[in-house]
Amino acid sequence: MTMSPKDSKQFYSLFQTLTGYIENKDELGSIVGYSVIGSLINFETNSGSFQEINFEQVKSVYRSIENVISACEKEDEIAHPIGFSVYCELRTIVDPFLDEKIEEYPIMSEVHEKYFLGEIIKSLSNRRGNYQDHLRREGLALLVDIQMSGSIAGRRNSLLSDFQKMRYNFTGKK
Amino acid sequence: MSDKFRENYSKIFIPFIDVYELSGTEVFSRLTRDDGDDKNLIAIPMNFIERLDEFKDKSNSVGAIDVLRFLKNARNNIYASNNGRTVCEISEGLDIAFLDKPLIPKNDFSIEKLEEIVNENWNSADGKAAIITNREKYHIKYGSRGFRIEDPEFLQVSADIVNEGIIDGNDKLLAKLYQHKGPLNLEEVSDILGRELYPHQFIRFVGKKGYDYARVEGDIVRNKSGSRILRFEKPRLRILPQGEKKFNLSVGNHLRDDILGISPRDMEQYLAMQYGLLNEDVSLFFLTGAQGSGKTLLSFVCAVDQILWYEKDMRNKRLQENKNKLKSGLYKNIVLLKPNEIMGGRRRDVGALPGSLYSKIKPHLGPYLDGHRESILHQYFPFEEMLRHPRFSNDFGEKRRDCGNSKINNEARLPGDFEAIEMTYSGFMRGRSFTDTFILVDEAQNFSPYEVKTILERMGEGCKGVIMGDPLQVDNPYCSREINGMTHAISHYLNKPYSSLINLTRNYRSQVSADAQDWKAFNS
Repeated sequence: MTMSPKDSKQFYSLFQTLTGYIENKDELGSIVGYSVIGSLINFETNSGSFQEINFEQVKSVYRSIENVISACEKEDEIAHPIGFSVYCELRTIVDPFLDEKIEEYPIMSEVHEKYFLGEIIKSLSNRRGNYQDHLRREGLALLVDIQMSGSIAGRRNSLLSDFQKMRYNFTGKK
Repeated sequence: MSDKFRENYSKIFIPFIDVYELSGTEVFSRLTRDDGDDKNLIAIPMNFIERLDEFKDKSNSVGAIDVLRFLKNARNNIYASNNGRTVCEISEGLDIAFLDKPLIPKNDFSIEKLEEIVNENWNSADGKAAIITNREKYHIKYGSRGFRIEDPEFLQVSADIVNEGIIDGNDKLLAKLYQHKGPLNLEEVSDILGRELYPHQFIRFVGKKGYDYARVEGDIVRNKSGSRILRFEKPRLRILPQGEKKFNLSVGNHLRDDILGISPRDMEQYLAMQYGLLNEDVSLFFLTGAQGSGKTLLSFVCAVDQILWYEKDMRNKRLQENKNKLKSGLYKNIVLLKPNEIMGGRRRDVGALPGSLYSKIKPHLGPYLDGHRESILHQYFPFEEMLRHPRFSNDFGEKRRDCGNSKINNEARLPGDFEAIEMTYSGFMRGRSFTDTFILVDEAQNFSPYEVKTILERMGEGCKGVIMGDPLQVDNPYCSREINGMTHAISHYLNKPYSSLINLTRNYRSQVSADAQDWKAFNS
């Protein structure tokens, strides 16, 4: 199969593959939501410009979604629905982290504060309801948003668009 | 009446026609200033009145009809009028100004002129008059010309509201539920989740062996006749037994593997059937989901099952609590209601289609014909029989044929008093009222909020309403993801003790169908 430039790695192509494995939208939403947080917990970069930092963060989320896809390939559907194990695994990393950060909020480490994760923690801490449900809905909203927009041509365009969509759906900021 | 006008208002609004169509008379109450300190003004040029009148005639719009009626009555309270300006007092917080010739010449009307005249004649405390519209083109057009243009925020409901039916819980709550070994008081649950919960709402948990589900229950207190739910007492959260994951259904004490040959294929479908469509305590059920998720099929078979006349023994077995007034089915018949929309968003009346009434409406019945074919019903009679009357001829031809009276599964038959299905359009709802009827409202995202309000007002005693739709599939150009009859109705009814919501999350059509969802050509 040949890949045209517009099929290069971006949320659209990754989500297209992921939806091939996990057909339940709620489960997909949770996995996407948790993947975003999971990929940013240990995020640090030496990139200089604001935009480059944003791009690095999106690439980190891409890697996380790719890991989910390879985990789904290996999962055994008879034991659990596809994606269930990988979701449980993500939760063992993300839940203790968010429990602690939301409890400590507004105190936040410098590292988290300067990156996108800090914005998500702030948004989750300031809203009513449990973050597990917010992450499902935000993941789902990102998924729908990306699917509705279709694939984006151009590497920088897709990185920029994906970051903006992620930011909007997880924090409401444009 | 005087010719002395009030000059200063808190806010001045110029709602465009689409806002009246979407909200009906609701626009007047929602744009009223309600703190008693000041007053708002709505400006309406006569050209808009004429457009509303045309709209009323062309598309039978209930919104336009009711707005015109409201404005006619408003003219009983004229307090100042001269030179083409007529101001009526609606309430302490709202005046309406009609603008006519010579102030606005009929043949020289423009939005620029209208705005200029409004701003010349009245002062708004927050700057200039605001145009209110949901149409993107007007936002682009008049926004770029420097007008103040706003969305009708009072009509907006986030499409995310469909996710309220089943929410995600956390480990702390799940542990508490297992530790407690029984239902948990809802206050305690709300404390743990940090949010309010609704009657009949579901919570999904990550359990040891897959997902676990819990449901908000309560003691339902009805009035003496059983026709109304008065309270939802002792609300609590109960974890659903593992056995429910086998998707066994029940109607009263009648246990079933399927309903007319259709079984739930996943947990969401099971919850929708068992706790929504077949649940007598839920008289208003919202069933949302993407294309191919099964909402029409499930609703159709559950509705038909509940209007069938079962044999006496079976009828008693199926009898649900408080439902003993009917000698036959649980409901008299089905009323099927669809918007006057066809794919592509053009508003068309059924009269525009060729042929007999059945051939005219057949294109609109596609999903139900499919449902009929997928269920066991097609083994007994063609779909058309369900539209025929059992004893008399009607718009669909002679009385029901013999095959239409066949015994289904050797235990039930179509109702002997009425047509099984009555098909109608929102435009024909005025003046009607239904009792003991199963009302299916399809593609509700293509109804305006005001149309759905009007439909639900028709629901009489003993009725059950099922509102189906998907806020991502809006064809009506006046509606949007945020403004449509379905999400609006959900936000209004979600906390009522008789209402419930499930969003079906899986597409059971092919990969081609799933991929068509994000085909850019169809996204406006």
